Amino acid sequence: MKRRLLLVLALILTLSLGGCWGKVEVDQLGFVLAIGIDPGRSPGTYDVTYQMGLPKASQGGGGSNLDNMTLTVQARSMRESVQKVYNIASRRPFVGTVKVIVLGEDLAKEGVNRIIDFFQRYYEFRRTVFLVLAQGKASDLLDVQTQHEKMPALSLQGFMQEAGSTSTFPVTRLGHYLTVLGSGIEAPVIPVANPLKSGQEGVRYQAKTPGQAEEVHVGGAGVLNGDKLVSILTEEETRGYMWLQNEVKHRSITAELPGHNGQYFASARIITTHTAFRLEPDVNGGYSLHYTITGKWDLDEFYGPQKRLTPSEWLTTTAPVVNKAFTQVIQQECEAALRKSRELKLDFLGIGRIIEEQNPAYWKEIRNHWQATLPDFPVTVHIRIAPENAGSSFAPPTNPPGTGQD
Amino acid sequence: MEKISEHQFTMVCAAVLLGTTFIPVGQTSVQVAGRDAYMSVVLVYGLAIPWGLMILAITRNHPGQNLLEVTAALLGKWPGKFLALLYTGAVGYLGILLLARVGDTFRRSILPLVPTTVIIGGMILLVLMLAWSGVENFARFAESVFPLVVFGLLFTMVFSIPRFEPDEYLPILENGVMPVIWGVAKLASYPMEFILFMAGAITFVPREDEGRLKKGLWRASVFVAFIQGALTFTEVMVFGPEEAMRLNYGLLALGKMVEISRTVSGIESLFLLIWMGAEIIKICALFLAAFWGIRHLSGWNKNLWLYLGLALLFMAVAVPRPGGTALALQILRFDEWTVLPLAGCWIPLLFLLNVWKRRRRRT
Repeated sequence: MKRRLLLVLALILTLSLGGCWGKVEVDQLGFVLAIGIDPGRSPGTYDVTYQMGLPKASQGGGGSNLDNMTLTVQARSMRESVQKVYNIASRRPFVGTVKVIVLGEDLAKEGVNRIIDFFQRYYEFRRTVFLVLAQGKASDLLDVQTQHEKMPALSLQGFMQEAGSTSTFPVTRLGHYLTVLGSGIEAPVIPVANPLKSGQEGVRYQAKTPGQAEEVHVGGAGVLNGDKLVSILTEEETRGYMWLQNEVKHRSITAELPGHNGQYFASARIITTHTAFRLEPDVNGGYSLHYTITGKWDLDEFYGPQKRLTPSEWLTTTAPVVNKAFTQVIQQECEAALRKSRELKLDFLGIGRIIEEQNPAYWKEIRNHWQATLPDFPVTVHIRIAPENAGSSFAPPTNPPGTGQD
Repeated sequence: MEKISEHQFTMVCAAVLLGTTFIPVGQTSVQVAGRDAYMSVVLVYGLAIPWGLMILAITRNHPGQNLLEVTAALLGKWPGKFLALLYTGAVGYLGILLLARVGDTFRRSILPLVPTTVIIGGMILLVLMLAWSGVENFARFAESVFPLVVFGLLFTMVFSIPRFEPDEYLPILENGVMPVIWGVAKLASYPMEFILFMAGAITFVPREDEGRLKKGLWRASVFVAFIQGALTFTEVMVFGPEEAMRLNYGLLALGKMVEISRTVSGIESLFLLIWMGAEIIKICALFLAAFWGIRHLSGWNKNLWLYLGLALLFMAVAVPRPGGTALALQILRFDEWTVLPLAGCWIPLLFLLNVWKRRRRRT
């Protein structure tokens, strides 16, 4: 009896030997690396740009073998746009490989949650996807043919993954955006990217097509009120935001030395840094927030008086001056970010969340009128940085007096 | 009569207590206790200890009998039958709902194109084979698979650390201790699922060294409480309380976020395979418990046709179940309105009745 039963079972199981259920071969898939969204030309529609990497036969020698396929479709919903791409590209767009979601500036001003819903709901997406705000149109950013023939999607991914080495713009993953949005206190912040033409922002390169942007630049950050873009932070404000968020890992910093009419300056790398915050009672019965930024820097460049320095001269006279100049730069960046937050009456720095963490009872008192309280809420920033290393030499290159540069 | 060792008893306790509750525990607890949910989770698994000790105490003087048989002996034949009917219905239907959830979790994660019938059919086949091979083999399976399940969970937690949002656990106890207590109440049905299994499985446990059994029960409960608490804490730290509440399956979202360096990502399929082991253990435990209930009610002994019939019933009811939020809600409600009152009241009442009868006999 048992044997017969096993035989029947085995026969049934042979039906499953036909292959994997619903399998899709690799060459039938379009690996979507970035999706850009702009408002559509017709009302109630979106222009959705898909940047796909299509695998091609290996030429040997390793490296990536991906053809760039970028196309924009107009659709009423994200699901509809996927379907349209399928119909055009004859490949199933696989969105599990999406690295970056680019939100067009106009779309961000209208509100992004309606679009974000698809990314947080559809199971193929990961919450680790990077969000980027395009200054201008998302499709323009993704259509850039970069100098090194890399897809903008991969360039943007590279920027985000290496952001810690410059710490000049925030990195916002989809999951982080949703968490911040859910907190109801903090305003979400998304990094800004734009196509960069030769000659813009002091950058020149040999463009293959003159007048066309062939590079991508990331800098600044967009601040959202709820899900609507209300302002784009300047690079200085963004750097201040990074300090106050304790998100600076490594940074280069350049500062003019005081009292020399901008003739002398120094450049250094911040090698370690930490931002601490403390909520303290005020004399008025309220509270104030104190940020303390500590850090160490390595000097890389110094344009100052060309004189021979002894080690003790460097330590007692020059280093403190340079340190003071760097401190001022950081102070200005932080003040700029705080000023912007007060001006916008938007807590993108997460001050309210710090108050909630450190004094929940006080937060309960002020949370209902926090937006009105924010511009006057006392915040101080103390910077305590110090030199770690003056580089391979503690003095600039010098020549004996009267033999050249004096 | 099959018997399992004290070590196997500890492993079975831990495996069935953990069961598949690691899937909804984060979302359910955060809904009530907010960012302090991990405290509720740690505390609630402690409930398995007094309830487990009560089962050991009740059955001490009824060797070879499970709690259904003891109930019939203490309350009489018909009240005993009535309770056995409730018990069979509760464990059977819970097993069916959990089986339906297997189909749902696989379809919404790594096997979206595979029909639910195939996933559930494959699962029930494994459960049937394990159940048919006996409690001893079931215990051995738990002994070898449970460490893998724990490893899978620990792996997910450790590799989620880079995704932690700063200070999401703060402020601690912002709304006092009451939300934590309500959280314990909300989750109390999770250890009770295990208690219902233990009520039936107690006949397979050697009673020579009860001290070791008690120690095993303690160890299993504390270990599971720690794992589940850490998992809930991880979900709060990664998603924040609002998001942790909103996600259907927070653990699946965590699995999808694991990235090792820049090359290894999307390894949730590995986790799902490991977690499948936990699902087999839990559903098999409930399948066996349902069989013990039927055996008590009908007097039928173990036979293949009965097992096949029960497996087909599980599958036939599980396949057409709706998935997603509707299913999660159904499981939660069934747990709260059936499993919790049944195990929560039946065992203490039986314990008190047993104590009272023994005292009366002495006097």
